[in-house]
Amino acid sequence: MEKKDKIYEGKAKIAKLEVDESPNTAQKYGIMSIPTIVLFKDGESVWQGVGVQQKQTIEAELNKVAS
Amino acid sequence: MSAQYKVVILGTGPAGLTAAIYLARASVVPIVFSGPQPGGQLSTTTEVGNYPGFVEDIQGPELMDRMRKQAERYGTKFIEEEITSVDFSKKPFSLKTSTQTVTADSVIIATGASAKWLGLDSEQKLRGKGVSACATCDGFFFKDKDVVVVGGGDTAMEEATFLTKFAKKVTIIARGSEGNLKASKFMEERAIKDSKISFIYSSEVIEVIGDNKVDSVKIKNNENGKEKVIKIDGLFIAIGHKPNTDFLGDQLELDKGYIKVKDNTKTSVPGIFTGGDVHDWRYRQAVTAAGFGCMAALDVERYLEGIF
Repeated sequence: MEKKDKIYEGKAKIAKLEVDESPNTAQKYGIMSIPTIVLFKDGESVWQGVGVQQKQTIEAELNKVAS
Repeated sequence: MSAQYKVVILGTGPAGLTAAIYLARASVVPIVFSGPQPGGQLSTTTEVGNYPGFVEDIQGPELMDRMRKQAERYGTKFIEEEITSVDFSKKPFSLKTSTQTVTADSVIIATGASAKWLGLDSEQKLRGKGVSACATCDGFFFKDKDVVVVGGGDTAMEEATFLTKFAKKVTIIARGSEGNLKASKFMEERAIKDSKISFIYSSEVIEVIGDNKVDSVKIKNNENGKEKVIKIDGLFIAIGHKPNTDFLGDQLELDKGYIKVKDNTKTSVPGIFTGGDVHDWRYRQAVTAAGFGCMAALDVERYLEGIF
């Protein structure tokens, strides 16, 4: 994930949420499993990937929205 | 032209990483494909209390991280991809990911096993939305909620007991009748004694109901055929594991899905070796997987030297 931050610098921001400390935020986005990756565009959740995701999947989803 | 390697290892659980440590120390630089779940099954557990050498419990993910660093220290190269198909019919063997093909003189398959699912469309639709196969990973999200655990083995009893830390009520749905569960007596009795746990015997889940999250499950009694719907917030599937061998197609001999072995780590194709839960249906422990990984590495060394 840290690597992605460099590649997509200026296009996407990568943030992590500690669910133990912020259960309400997790609930707000319907997260009931970890790890879950949520992709936001303009504040809206546009994609969710539950479980460990392949690099290619994440890149494909990122490329769809990051331009 | 695809990259050619001496040894390729599939899997980063204890078997794959131990094999990597041994080969790297023997100066045979192993290439390890991390697979879809780096660290394997231990990456989703919490305390590990039976791995020798750790006086205090160690967390599963930390143990796997340490093994990986140890393998890296001796020169192991990791590729963060998953092998999706193989061709073992000619040498060098070829292995494909979604982006590349590599060839190898020898291969160690240590792809482990994964939790089994019921196989219902409704279950897959709600995965991560209340349906889970890992109480230790997701139990946290079910504080003061009602959850169901499906299964009658030791894993189901353990998951149910673990979930009582969070959930208000845990119901175990088992196919077996009362007193005829697959679980060991000790585990079953511990669950029965727990005031938060109740049992529904001789039944199976036939549908998971809910739009964006689990709302209820439809269950069917397999003795009288009666169906009923119970309201729940979470569904944990604990019906056992299946070896990760689908990608092999018909390239290796399998037995009930597990890789068939002869002479400890050899498979039906000379030059292809295996270790861990992908062939071991019997012991399935971190330390036995590590042991099998070591054996596979030593056998690969001998194979590459032309000894067998």
